[in-house]
Amino acid sequence: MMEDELARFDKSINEFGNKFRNTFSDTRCQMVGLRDVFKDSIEALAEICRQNKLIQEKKDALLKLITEVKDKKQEMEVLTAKIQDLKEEYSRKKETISNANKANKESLKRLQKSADLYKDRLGLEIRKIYGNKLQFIFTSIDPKHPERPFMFSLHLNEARDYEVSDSAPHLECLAEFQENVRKTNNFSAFIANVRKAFTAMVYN
Amino acid sequence: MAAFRDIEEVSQGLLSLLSANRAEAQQRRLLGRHEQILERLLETQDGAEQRLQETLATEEEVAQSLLHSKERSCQGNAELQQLEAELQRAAEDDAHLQASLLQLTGELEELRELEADLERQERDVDEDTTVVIPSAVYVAQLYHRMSKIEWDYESEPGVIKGIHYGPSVAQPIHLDSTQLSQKFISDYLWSLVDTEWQPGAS
Repeated sequence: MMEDELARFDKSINEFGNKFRNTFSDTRCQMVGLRDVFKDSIEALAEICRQNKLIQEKKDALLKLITEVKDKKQEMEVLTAKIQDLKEEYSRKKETISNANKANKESLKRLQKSADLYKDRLGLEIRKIYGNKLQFIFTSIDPKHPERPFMFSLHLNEARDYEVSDSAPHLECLAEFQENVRKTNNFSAFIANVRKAFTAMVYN
Repeated sequence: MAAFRDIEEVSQGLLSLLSANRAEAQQRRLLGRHEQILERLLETQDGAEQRLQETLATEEEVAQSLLHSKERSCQGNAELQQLEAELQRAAEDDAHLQASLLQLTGELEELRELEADLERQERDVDEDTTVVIPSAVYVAQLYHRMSKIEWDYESEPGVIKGIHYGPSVAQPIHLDSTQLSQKFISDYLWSLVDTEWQPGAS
């Protein structure tokens, strides 16, 4: 009986021994395999880490861009409104200027026409010259040379009196006329007398 | 491994005992050892079983973890692609808006030039209004003051029509300029103007 038991025991020990040895060598391969899989797992996690970093970068970049786009849209609105306002303003201004200019030109045309009539018909040109002076130029005085000019200058001095100067040709009585016009303030007579004096010069 | 050698030795010992007819005490001792070895065998079996189970469990865990990681990696890629597409769209919008802004800035610049131009025109008009016209008015008034003549601007060409406002009487003027010389006309018109130095009249 004991022999059987021992024999059985021996058998079971051997069986376990074999099984353990086999499993041991299998397990070794398994462990190596497991280690490889662990390595893969770590690499995958590292990849995910990298990805996450990349994702965050791109998200940040996207947010920044979106903000910029929003700002630009706003700027566009502001600019568009400003441009519209300016266009309207300038359009109005342009019209105002155009109207004023038109009115001015018409006035000037009328005034010029009037002055020309006087100038041509009276044979007298009035010019503004330096020193705030007025220059009076008579023509149609000399019958032989009607275009020959007879001129003198006039201005108001500090005392607000009429003052004559630069007559060409020289007129003796001009000083006397100056006194008369200062006394009487009769500008019309003054000019008429000057013309008369110039005319008299020619006939003498 | 040493345990197995022991076990073998004991086996051999037991077998030789049985064939030799030794003392009972020895047999009992050996049986006791036998029991110990059995226990150790069973423990070792259990231990080995446990290690195996643990290994299997770890295997499964790691496999799951790897699967999970791969899945997340895939999702991550998809998310990256989507972000890339959105970035591209946003970049296009940005570029588009930049171009529009540039155009608007150009328009604004043109408007500034227009403003400067208008200001120039305004100054010209102002000069006309404040200087040129008053000056022309002054000259026209001067002529009127000195000649006391007012013209009829509606008269036919070649005809000089107007009125001379003398001190007491207004004299009409009617001359045919086609028939008369310039000098005659001038002399005649000036003859109407009073050369007497009457005071006050200007």
